[in-house]
Amino acid sequence: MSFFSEALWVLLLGSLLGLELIGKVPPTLHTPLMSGANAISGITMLAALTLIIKSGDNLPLLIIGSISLGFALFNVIGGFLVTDRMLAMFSRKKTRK
Amino acid sequence: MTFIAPIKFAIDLLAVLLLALGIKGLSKVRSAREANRLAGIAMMLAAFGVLLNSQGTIGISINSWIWIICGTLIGGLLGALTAKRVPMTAMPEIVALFNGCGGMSSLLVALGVALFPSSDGSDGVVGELIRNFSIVVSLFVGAITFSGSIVAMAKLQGWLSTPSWTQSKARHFFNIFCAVLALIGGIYLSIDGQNGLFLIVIASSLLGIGVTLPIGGADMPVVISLLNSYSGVAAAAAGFVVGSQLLIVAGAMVGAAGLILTQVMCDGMNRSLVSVLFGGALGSSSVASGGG
Repeated sequence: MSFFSEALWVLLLGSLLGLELIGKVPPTLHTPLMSGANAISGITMLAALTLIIKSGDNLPLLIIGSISLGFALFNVIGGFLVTDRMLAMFSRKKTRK
Repeated sequence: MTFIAPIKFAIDLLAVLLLALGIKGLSKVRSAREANRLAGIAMMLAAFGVLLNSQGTIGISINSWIWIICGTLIGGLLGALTAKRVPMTAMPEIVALFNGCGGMSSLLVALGVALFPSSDGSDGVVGELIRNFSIVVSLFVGAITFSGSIVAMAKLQGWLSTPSWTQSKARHFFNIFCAVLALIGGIYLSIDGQNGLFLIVIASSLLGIGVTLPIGGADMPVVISLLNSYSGVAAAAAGFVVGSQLLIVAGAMVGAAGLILTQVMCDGMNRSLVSVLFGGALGSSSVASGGG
């Protein structure tokens, strides 16, 4: 029970932090911010990792965990790369092609 | 092995700090690119922390390593290829696709835990109930995120048009029907942890389709942002399922920040979230002009 009571506090404070993090966002950054936040939400890859590690020799569970990890990493790596590509268009140092 | 737990703890704290700074920095043009990299580093740190801790405490079997590497390589390569190849004009679609996959991942984790419960009953009755409830939330939100995001992507790509029945009142009945079915499945599952599993998944997938299909193309970015917020919630629920504080913080942060971003985007388009979600594609212009 101690984990769950702590976890509920963590949930509450994390939500409040998220509510406060973003104030004014310039409209050009709406899509990159959405994409970046989306990449972060791929953090479920940790859950998938935990599932695989704890599943031992249970083959169906290993497969489910592996597919889940694949989906999550698709989200994370794709998300960060795409965000980086979008943001690269903002940089002033490089000349545009 | 006693020194591993504190290291894991420190890594987790650092990762949360970097993620928060990342989200914060992404909302300013000057710092956005560095912030994105910072968040990427935080994710790597977090994954490293989990692997280190498990290796140190319970050990990771060769079998697990093989499946971890398989999943990582396939998912990572596909993600990198997709991100490099996609044209800049298709960005909202691709974000929707990635987002849907994140939701799917949370769903699969919850499905795995529900199908093969490994709990030893040490959590007590209340703990068991919370665990089942978080499985329900993870399944429900994950399925809505996945099906909704895929529909959003298909509509933006022009693969799906808006069927006329979705513009009538019938869609509200359809959606309410699906929601009730999902609720029934959820109640069953939270009581005994087995029944109603697939009822939730199917009903909430249909609900995701039913909610997203009527929405017009111009409103899609707002919907994708909302679905992004949902996938954060699904991640937080998955954190409850596997018992990871880091996951709960990150999921809650993304969920809340996504909600604020959705609101900001709505304001930018001079529309209310309600009219985006329930106005429909064809009736939306009258709602917007009436509201504005």
